[in-house]
Amino acid sequence: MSDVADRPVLLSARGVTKSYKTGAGPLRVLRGVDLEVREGEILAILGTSGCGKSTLLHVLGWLDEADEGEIHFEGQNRASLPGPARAQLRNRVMGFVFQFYHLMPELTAVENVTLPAMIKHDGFGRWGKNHKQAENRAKALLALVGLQDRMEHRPRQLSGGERQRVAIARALMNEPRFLFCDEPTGNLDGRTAEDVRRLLWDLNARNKQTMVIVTHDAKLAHQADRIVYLEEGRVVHKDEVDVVEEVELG
Amino acid sequence: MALPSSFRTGYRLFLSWRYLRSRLVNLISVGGVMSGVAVLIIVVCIMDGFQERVRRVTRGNLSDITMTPREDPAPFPAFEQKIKEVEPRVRAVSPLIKIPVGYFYESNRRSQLTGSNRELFLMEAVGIDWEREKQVSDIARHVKTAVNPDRPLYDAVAQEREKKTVLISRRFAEKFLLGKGRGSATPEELTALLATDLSIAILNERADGTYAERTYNLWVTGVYEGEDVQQDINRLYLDIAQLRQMANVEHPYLDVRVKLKDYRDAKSVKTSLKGRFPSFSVFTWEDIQRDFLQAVESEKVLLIIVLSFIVLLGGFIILATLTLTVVEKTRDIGILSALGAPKTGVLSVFLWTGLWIGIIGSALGVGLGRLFVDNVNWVKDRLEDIGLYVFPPDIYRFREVPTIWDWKSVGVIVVGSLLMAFFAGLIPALRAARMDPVRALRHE
Repeated sequence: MSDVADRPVLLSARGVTKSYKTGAGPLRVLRGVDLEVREGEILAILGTSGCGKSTLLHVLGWLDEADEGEIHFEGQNRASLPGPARAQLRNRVMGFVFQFYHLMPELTAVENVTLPAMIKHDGFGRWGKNHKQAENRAKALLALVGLQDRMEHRPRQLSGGERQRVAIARALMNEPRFLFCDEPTGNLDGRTAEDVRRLLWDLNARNKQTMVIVTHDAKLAHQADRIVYLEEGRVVHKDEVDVVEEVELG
Repeated sequence: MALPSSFRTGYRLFLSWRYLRSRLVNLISVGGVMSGVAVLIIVVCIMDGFQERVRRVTRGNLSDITMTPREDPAPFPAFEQKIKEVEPRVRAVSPLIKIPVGYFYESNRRSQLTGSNRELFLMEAVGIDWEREKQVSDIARHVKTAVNPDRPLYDAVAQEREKKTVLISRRFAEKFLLGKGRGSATPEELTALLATDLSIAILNERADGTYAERTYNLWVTGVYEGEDVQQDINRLYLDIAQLRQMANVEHPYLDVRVKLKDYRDAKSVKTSLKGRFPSFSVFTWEDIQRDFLQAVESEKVLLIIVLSFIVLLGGFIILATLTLTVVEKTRDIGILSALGAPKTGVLSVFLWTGLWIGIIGSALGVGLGRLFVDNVNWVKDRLEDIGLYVFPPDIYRFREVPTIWDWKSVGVIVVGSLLMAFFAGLIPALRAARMDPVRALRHE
């Protein structure tokens, strides 16, 4: 993986801070994070619970706004884009996988997977023209994650591992360049977690998909191209994958 | 494997439809809107029907315009010709006199008025010129049976016997001549009354307050049935010349009834006639019945305003339901944002959920309303079967509950209901759209 450092930077964060209001005053979650994500790499953000990993992921994925600092995607500053443009970019360029899957309970697996395409092709008559193609892609993605027999099942009829695979298929629906994974194996047993990890790594190998994975699972993080360790809202160690052994795992 | 057709409508309609179907409380809201719309439609249709029927009953045999002379009027047909000359919008003119008369009948009780068992029933004898009258009022349409259907006040036998002819009402016949309940006389029984005598008295009040009576045996030549049973029972129709002779009326007429070519011209014709004939008081039939008609209109408007609150209640149900839905679907809102749905997209998902409730509720309400309106008299009859008299004819003056299905009124109710659903859905939808996606995703 020594070639990762040569790849262009797709996403960068500079001096990102974020705090939340609490009854006891502002809670500073991110305290000046600098970070770069390069094309096609798997970057693991490792840290203990409450260190600000998920907040950082949300800020990087433009779901949340930083108090200070800049987030650049391919050189474009997040702050310069209006809300609808940010939403459109999130829809077309980014995919999200969450620890608790976050599937829509009313929709079947194939409908859940198709949802990002429905949002993409929103507008009078546009979905009507694209729905067949999207439907076929959703089925193909479900087959890719091994759920060809579960397409019409609703989330409550699926196991945890199956739900996470549906969530991964959904994240891939619009062929995003980025995949943001928030504790993707955090809610799964060991064997299922390994299946999901293998699936993500296969996707990266096959599609050169850039992934940012937030985890407290050291075993998962060790297999990433690069690990960033976050402690109390600060990046305390950033290194290439060949020095990953030096990272202290909480 | 084909996906449902709603899948092709875009995520806004698709998700809102799914939310609607998946939650029982939404279906209850649909029921709420349906009830409100149905009740309002039923009330409007019944009130429209009631108003129209009241207008018809109130109008009775009133002509478009009535002219009452304040001094000796010019006789017919010269006067008729003059009116038609000066006002070409007049179609027909007819003279009329009204004389109080009495009908004596045997009673079980002693009458204070007559001092015997003969009870007096006070009535109004209306003298008309049949050929002219039938052109200014609905009298010809109301005649149910007659010796001579073309000219019900004319009979050769009566002429031969030098008898004065009379048209009696069906209600009068049933009550006093047949001793039967209202509407129960058969056509044969009514026909059997033709060519029989009816004694009536023309009354003159004495100085001591008692009445001097002059009795006439009239020859019944026809039975009529008007819109207003209460008015009918008190009214007899006679030939104007015969009645003038019986009551010693010097004037050729007491009123002139005017039929217009188009009633929409009534106000301007009234003004024109007032100017041309200053010795006459001129009224449209609505002027004569203005107080009553306005009372009915006010009652209708008041009822609609009060019942509109039911639809408003439907709006509050939608508001409450969608507020709950937004809370329950907080995480979905976060998911939609994460997947790239703009705030307007999130807003329209919930706005559409409210609109679906409004659309389906209104459609079902229209259906239910139509069903009820079409069968309102069946419902009334069934209620009467169990002793619940919701529409007593003695009070309302007609036997059946009148209804008018007016699509314009129904359209206004439906549009109002949809607007209400829109605004009721807007508040929770705005709340959903303004939700912070990260907080929404973390919502437990």
